[in-house]
Amino acid sequence: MDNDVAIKVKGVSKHFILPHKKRNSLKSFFLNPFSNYRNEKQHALDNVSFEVKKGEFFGIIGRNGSGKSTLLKCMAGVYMPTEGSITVNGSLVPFIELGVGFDPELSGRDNIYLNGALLGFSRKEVDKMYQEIVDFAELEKFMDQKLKNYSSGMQVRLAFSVAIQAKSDILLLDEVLAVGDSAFQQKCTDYFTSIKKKKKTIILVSHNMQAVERFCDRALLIDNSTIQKIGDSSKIAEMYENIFLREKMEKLNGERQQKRREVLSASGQAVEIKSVKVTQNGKKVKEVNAQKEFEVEVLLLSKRGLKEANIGINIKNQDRIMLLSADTIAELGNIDIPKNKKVKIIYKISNILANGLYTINLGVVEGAIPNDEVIFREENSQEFIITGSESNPRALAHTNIDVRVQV
Amino acid sequence: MSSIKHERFPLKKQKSLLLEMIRTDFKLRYQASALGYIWSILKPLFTFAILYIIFALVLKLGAREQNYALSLLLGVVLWSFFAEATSASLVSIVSSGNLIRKIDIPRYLIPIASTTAAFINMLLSLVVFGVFLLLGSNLAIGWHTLWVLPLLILELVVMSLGFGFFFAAFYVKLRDLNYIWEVIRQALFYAIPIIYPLSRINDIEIQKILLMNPLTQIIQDARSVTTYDKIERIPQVFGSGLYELIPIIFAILSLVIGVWYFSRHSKYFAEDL
Repeated sequence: MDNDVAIKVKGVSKHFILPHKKRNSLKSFFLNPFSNYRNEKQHALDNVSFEVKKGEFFGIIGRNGSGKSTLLKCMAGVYMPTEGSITVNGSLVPFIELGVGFDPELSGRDNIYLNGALLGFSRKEVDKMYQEIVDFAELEKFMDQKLKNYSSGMQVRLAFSVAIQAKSDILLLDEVLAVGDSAFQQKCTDYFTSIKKKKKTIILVSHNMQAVERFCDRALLIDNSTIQKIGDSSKIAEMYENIFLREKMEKLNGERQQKRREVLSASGQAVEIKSVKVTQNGKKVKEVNAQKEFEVEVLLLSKRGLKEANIGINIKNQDRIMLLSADTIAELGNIDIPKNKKVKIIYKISNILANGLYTINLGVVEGAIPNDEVIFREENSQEFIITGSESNPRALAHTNIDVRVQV
Repeated sequence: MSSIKHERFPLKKQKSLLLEMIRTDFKLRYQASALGYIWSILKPLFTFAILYIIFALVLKLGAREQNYALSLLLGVVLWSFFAEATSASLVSIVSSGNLIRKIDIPRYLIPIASTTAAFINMLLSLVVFGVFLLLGSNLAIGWHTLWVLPLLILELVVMSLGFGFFFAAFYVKLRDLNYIWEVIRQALFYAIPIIYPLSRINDIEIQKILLMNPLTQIIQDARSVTTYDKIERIPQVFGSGLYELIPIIFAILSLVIGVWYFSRHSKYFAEDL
C-alpha cells in the first residue's frame, strides 16, 4: 500500500439480515424450526471503493439511510464488511459519537476516566490531561456530580473535551457539529481548524454542507448504498443539495398535476394552461445553468373571450420570496384574446438567480387599471433549479459587481 | 473474503481499559448502597449463615463430617464465583450493546471484565474464609495448600471464563439463554455437594456421576487441602487418579470452545445486537 494513503477501502459491501426475520428466542426455534429462515438481505453498502490520503480532510455526505453511517462503522471496525477490505494505515480513533460509554450513574470524573480508557488512555495519562479536560469543558464545579444531573449541553461539552484529547493519526467524526449551542459549535470549529493545521487525517460525516465545504478538501457522496461521486467538496456539497431539490421538484410536479385535474373538472375557468416550459439554449430543461439567460414559455388556451388581458408570471424561491416578475402589459399593453384561442408567451430572463429551487407562478388579469380583476391564478405552474453558481449560497441573486477599493 | 486491518488497542492499552471496566463495574454495583463494597463480603456470609443454620444446626446434615461448617463456607464461596461469573458474562455483551455498536474495543474484554469482577469478589470472600479457617482446628492445611488451592482456583476460573465466553456470544443470538441458565444453575447447585457431604450419598455410582462434574471435583479437592483431608475425591471413589484428568480436560475444553465460539461471532455483535 502506498505510504501516503491513510485509509484504503476496497470493494466493500455490507449486507444486513433484516431483524424481523431474525430468530432469537427459543419459541421461534420450536414453533417453526425450518420456515422463516430465509435470509432477507438489506444491502447497506454495495461495492464501495475509495482512498483517503494522509493529511486529508475528507467528507462523507449522504441522506439518512444512504449507507454513510454503515460505511463509517465499517471503517471504525465496528461492523465487519460482508465483502471487501479496509486497510487503515496509522492509529485511528473513532468517535462515531461523542461520549461513548458515558454512564449516567457515574460522576463526571469517573466518566472522564472511563471514556478516556475507551479512547485508549491509561489512568496515568488521563491524570495528566484531567485538568485540561475540565478547564476546556468549564465544568470544574460539577465533576463530583453524577452525569445524570448534567444538562445535555454539559454532557456534550464534557464528551467533546475528552474526545479532543485523542492523539491519533486518523479521526472519524460523525455529526459532531449537529449538537451543542453556538458557543460550543465555535469550539468545534476552532478545533477543526487546529487539527487541519496539524495535518491529521480527518473523516467527517455531516449533514452540514457549510461545514463540509469549509473544512473538507475532498468529499464523497453516497446514495442508495453506492458512491455517487468523489471530488472537490464544494462540488459534492452542491450535488448533495441537488438531490433534495430534485426530489422536491418531483413532489411539486405531482402536486401540480393533481391540482390541475381538480381545477379542470371544476367548470367556469376562463383560461386553461396547456404548458409552461423552461428552456435554455433552445432546449427544454429542468436544471438551469446559473448566470446564463433562460426562457419561460407559457402556452394558454382561452376558454372564453378575454378583454384587455394581461398575462404575468413571477418567480419565487423556496422561501416563497418573489424575486422576479414580468407581464405582457409592459411589452404589448392590454390585449384582447378571442375564445378558444391558443396564446404563447415567451419571457426571456437574464439569469441573476442563485443556486436553489424556484417556482414559476402564473396569473391572468382582465381589464385596465384601475378596473382590473384577477380572473386566473396558479401557484407553482412550473419548477426548476439553478445549478453551478459559485457565488455565496446565502445571496438570493447575483450579478456582476465591479469592485473597486481605495485605501 | 472481507477484512479490516487496523492497529488499535495494543496490549498495554487493553490492560488499562480492562481495569477501567472492572472499576466501573464495581462502582456501579455499589454506588447507591450505604455499605458499598462490604456487601461483596456480606453476601456470601449471609448465604453461608442461612445454609449453616438450616443444614448444620436444624437438619444436622454434616454431623459426621469433619469441619462441615468450613467446608460448607468454602463450597458456597467457590460456587458463588462460578454462578456470578457465568451469569454476569452471559449478559455482558448484550448489556454493553451501546458500546459495541459505537466503538471498536476488543470485545473479549467485556466478559473478561465480568469474570474478573466476580473473581475479585471471590478473593474477598476467600479472605473471610481464611480467617475462619485459621480460627478452626483439626484442619487439613499444609504447604501443599499454597500451590494446590491456587491451581484449583485457576481451573475454576478457566472453566467459568470458557462458559462466560460461550454464553456471552450465544445470548446475542438466543435471548432465552439467561432463563435457561438460571434453571440449570439451580439444578447444578443441588447436583454439587455444597450443602450436603458427598459421603451422604450411599450409591457409589451416583457419587461417581457427581464427581465427574468438574465443579464437584474442584470443590472437593479444595476442601481436601483446607478442611478435611479424607473427603471423597476422584482417586478414592474411582480407585484411580487418572479419572481426575477428565474434569480438568473438561475445564480446558470449555475455555477452548468458549473462546472459539466467541471469536467466531464477535465480529458480528454490532449488527446482531
